Amino acid sequence: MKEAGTIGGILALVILLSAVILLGDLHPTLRATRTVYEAYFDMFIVFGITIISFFLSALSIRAYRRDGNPRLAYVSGAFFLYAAKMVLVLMNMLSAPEYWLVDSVIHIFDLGILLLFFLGVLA
Amino acid sequence: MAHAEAVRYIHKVEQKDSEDDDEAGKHLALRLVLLQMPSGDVHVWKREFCLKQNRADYHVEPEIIAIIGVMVILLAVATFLYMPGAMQDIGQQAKTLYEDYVDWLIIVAAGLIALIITSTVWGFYFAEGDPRDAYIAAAVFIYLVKMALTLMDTVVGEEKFLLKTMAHLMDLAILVLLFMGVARR
Repeated sequence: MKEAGTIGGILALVILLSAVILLGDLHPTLRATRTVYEAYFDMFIVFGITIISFFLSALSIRAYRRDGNPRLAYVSGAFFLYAAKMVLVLMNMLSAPEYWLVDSVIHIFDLGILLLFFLGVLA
Repeated sequence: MAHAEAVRYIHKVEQKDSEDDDEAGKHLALRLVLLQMPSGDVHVWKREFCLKQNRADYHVEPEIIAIIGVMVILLAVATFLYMPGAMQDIGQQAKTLYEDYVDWLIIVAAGLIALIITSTVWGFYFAEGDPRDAYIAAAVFIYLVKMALTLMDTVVGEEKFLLKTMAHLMDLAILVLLFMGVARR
């Protein structure tokens, strides 16, 4: 049950950090720091996610070419969309303060990613 | 079957120009050659043969092209409408329209898909006990929570439940879990 510990740990970390961010946002003084971490801390996270998603995309394409399993083709497509989404988010952050990326585009990308995962799971 | 004959047979199978459809004969030939090869060579040959076969079958599924194509078109339309210039006014009107009516529908659809995936994959995990399924199911579960929070933000009309940093942290957790689930396959 090693996976239960890992999953539990990651979920706990996400919940803990989310709680800190949300509580910080409620406090008027701490809220001022939001602009600071949104400008610097966020950039690191988004950059990291972009690299991981490209890495996973390349890895799954390689696995698909090796195994020829159609599931991996859908998963590769999903990771490719994830990487594309993160590139857009990163470009949007770098273009601050003139943000141009609409939230709806991100939601449509999320829908596309989940559709591909759905096809991959059921394939 | 003589060894030389079997090798010729194998070459025909590899080149896919064999007119002989006798599957049993092909398998016999393969087995004979493999039996006469040193074990290391068998492993290398098998791997190369499988790679060749899979590369011949390699193709991109049409659904993937369709979904990625739709994404690219939507992105192009959104970017065009938001570019400074004559179209910006139309873009603003379109934004209000789809933020009020279309946006939440997209989020609900994405959330429902996430719900189906996570329940299906948890089902696989409890039935087969493969830890990779647990990682994938957990990743999609976080996606589901993210979609729920996004929907709450959309209903309220402001960034209140899912702050940008939180969304990025969730994205990171999703990818780490997917990495653990998919990269080992």
